[in-house]
Amino acid sequence: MKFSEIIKNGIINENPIFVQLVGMCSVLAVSSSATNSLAMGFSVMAVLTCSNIVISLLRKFIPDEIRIPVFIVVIATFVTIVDMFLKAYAPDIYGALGIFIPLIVVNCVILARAEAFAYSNGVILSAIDGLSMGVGFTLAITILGILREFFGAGSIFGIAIYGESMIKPAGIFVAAPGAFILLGILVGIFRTLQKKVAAN
Amino acid sequence: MKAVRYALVLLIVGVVAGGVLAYSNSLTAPIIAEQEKAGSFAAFQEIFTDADDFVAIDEALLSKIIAQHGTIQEILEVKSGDDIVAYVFNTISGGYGGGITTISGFNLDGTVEGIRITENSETPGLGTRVVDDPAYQESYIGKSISEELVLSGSPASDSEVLLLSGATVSSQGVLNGVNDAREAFVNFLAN
Amino acid sequence: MSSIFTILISTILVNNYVFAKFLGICPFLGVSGKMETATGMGVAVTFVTTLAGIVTYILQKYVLDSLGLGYLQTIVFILVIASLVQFVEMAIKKMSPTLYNALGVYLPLITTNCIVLGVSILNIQEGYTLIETITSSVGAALGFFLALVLMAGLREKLELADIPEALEGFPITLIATGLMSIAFSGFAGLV
Repeated sequence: MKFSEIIKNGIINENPIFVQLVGMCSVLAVSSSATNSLAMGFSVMAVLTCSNIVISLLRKFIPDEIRIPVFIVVIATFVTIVDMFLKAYAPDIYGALGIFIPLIVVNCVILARAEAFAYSNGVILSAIDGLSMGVGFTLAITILGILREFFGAGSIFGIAIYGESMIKPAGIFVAAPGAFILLGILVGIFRTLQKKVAAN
Repeated sequence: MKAVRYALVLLIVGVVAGGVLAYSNSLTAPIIAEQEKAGSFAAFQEIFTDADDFVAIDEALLSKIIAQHGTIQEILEVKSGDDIVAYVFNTISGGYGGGITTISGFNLDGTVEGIRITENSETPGLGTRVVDDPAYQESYIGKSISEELVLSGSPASDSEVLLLSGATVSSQGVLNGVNDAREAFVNFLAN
Repeated sequence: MSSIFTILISTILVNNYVFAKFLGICPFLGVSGKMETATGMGVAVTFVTTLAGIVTYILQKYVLDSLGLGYLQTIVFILVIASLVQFVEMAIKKMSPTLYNALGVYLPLITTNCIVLGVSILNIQEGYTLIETITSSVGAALGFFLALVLMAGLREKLELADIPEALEGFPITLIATGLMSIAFSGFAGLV
């Protein structure tokens, strides 16, 4: 498989959020601001790439029957490391992401990539797969974060764009319902675009 | 034989994982502890700008108080010179998204000097307004702690603090911690 | 007693894990297509979440905390949940083949249902007692069950509706979930 193909797969064709719709919990929960989205995106990318590399390295030694428990241990280890380092060096972000950092463990993107890609491919390919899936995840969650923050709080990355005086921001976009609705619309738009591109 | 091999592989993976985590914990734990300490001291100083020192109260007394007031984590005497002028309480009370850590400062004359919310996992943009909207924390300043504080949309009386609409659970969560500290102060420390 | 009732109402309605806390979205989207599968998944999740809540609570209190191994929480919890799921699967298979036929396919999916891990971690963070832990686990799972069944009812109707092509399937489900979440926010004043 070509590198460019893997990269395109991760970011567009099989974008974890817009196409596969996996790992939704963290996506919806932390995308209330662009900064949080970006932080979550990078955390997932780090865990995904590292776990893909390690699982690919170990794939010859892991017996088939117990591969899932081994995957889980590897993933949980990296998640805990990310958790510790965020807590130590970026306490603000740690506070904002809260319980959704340990929950990266059950983010289906990571287990799915371990099972579908890293367990049957070489180290370099797996690393690139992890990285591009991570980029796809980060892009999607950040787009959602930027839109939610823009409509819901009138700012992007914490910088005010329009104030209360002009139009009052619609708080619902920062709250739970807005997350669901906006993501639904975004997935719809992404599909339409993809179809248009394919048709050309 | 197979079972033994599986167990062995799992054991090795588990031990390596445990080792890696223990190592990175040893790297990060001191930094985390220091940050938490620095964080709460900074918050103490924000409340009591003129204080000279903060000293933890007697441990036997603290454990006696904690037995009755579960949210309290630590209590410190606020010193001006050698005199105790006030007490600060560190409480963790339940909010919407998890525990909220609040620092409450009470003067010996029975008024609130101020409160600071140092940690929370509330809903961004809604519950987090207890931190982001300065009006909430400011509404505690100068209130009397002789009786229980209550929430109000437009606080007027001496025992009313601000209820943020859309952040009811978070407002109440912080208040629960402050009230618990208040009760402990009245019962154990006021005299 | 009152706190237990509050926890129950809060986890089922006010802070419904699907609509307000965003946990368990993947299985929620995946199996809410048909009423029958939704019920099966709901029952299985209720069962596992409650068991996991109790086991992780005991492990945290008596093993991790007393050995100072708090940093292994994530890894231990997820392993406990994974083995619990496996164990429940085997037990049901042995004891009641009919039940196994009904629930069997959902059980493996539960390992990656973040409600189970999420509730276990939140119970510890909130500092709940064992009784409160059980209550909140049952409540969380029932809340999930409720969300799933409501959504399944809606989606069965949606299949007959005329939906723009781009929104068919998941997008319209997400939008409907959003509207339902608005409805659930109406429960906010209950506790």
